[in-house]
Amino acid sequence: MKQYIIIIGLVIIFGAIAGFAESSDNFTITVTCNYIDFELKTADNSAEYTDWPVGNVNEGETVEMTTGAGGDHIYVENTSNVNLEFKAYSNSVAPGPCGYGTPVAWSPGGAAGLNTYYLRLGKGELGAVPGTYTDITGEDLGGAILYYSTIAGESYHLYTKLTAPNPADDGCSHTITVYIVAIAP
Amino acid sequence: MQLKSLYFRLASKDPVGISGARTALISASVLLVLLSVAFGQDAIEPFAIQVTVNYLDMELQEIGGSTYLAWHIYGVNPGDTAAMELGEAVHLVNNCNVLVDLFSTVRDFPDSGTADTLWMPWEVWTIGGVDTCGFRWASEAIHAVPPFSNGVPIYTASTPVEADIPAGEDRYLFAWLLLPTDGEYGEQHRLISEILITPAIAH
Repeated sequence: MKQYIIIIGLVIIFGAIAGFAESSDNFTITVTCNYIDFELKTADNSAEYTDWPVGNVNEGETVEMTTGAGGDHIYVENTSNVNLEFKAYSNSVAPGPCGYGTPVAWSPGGAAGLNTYYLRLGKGELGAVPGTYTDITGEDLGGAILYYSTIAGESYHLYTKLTAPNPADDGCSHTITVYIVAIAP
Repeated sequence: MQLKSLYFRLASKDPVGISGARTALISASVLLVLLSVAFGQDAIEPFAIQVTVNYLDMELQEIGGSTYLAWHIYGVNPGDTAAMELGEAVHLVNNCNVLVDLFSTVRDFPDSGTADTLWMPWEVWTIGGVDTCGFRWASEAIHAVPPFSNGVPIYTASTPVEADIPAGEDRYLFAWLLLPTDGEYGEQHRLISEILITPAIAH
């Protein structure tokens, strides 16, 4: 009988120990990574925007992207889930010989000068150019903020204003590559 | 207590399972952080601007290829019209990369070699008159003497001698000088004619 009592007692103790020896609870971590994604599209949002063919201009002449759905400005399609700073920089290399002077590489500047172009970018509307532009003088990442999106995923219309070098050493076709950078501040 | 110790020993006898899971968990966390750094911090999209500056360059050459300096006219009478001959034409070598308009001006240069107190500058008009001359340029695509009617009177710079000359296309310029009908005789005059080119798109 004693043995039974001892065994029953051990079973109860074991059960109690087993019951208190393992306990669990949980909590959930909810995390969303900053998703930064945007595309440069044509003004009517129908195709990828790849280049702005300005063509021939005079030395020191200023050209600006045009308004409207058929204009040549850029629609920045923003599918990010976070507020963003949009910055820009540009650079250009010397083109190959073309028969019109000796090709020289252009560089960005705060005003048009010898082989120096003056580039500005700004947020406008579909039917209106920007009221103000931001000077884009950098040749690599960094520099001035051209637009700060305070609404996640806010798309907008981007305009470029370019003043050609004055003077320019050559009459060759130059390519200026403009990089739009979106950064989560 | 013995049972409790036994339980922990059993647990600790599975070092591979526990540390393996922990390692996997840490690795996954690091990977997530790296992925968020790689995809979450910035994005770059480029576009290109294609632009060409109007390149305006020309040379005025004699037909033989040397630099054109002067058209000499000797011993003419009042009211005569002097015309460039085939070999006297100006070869305009067009090095422009853009469609251009060709303009010209002409004026009587006041330091002529024989200028004295009687020397009077000639006005330039469409035809000759008293101390007034007329001057015309014709711009031709081929080297052949054009008719007088091809000549454009040069008395205002606002009228192009020729508009919309294609990029890089040479021209041959022929001039006519319509001499004054009256004035001081025996004085040498040196007329300066400037040739100007401007991008046609500017007009």
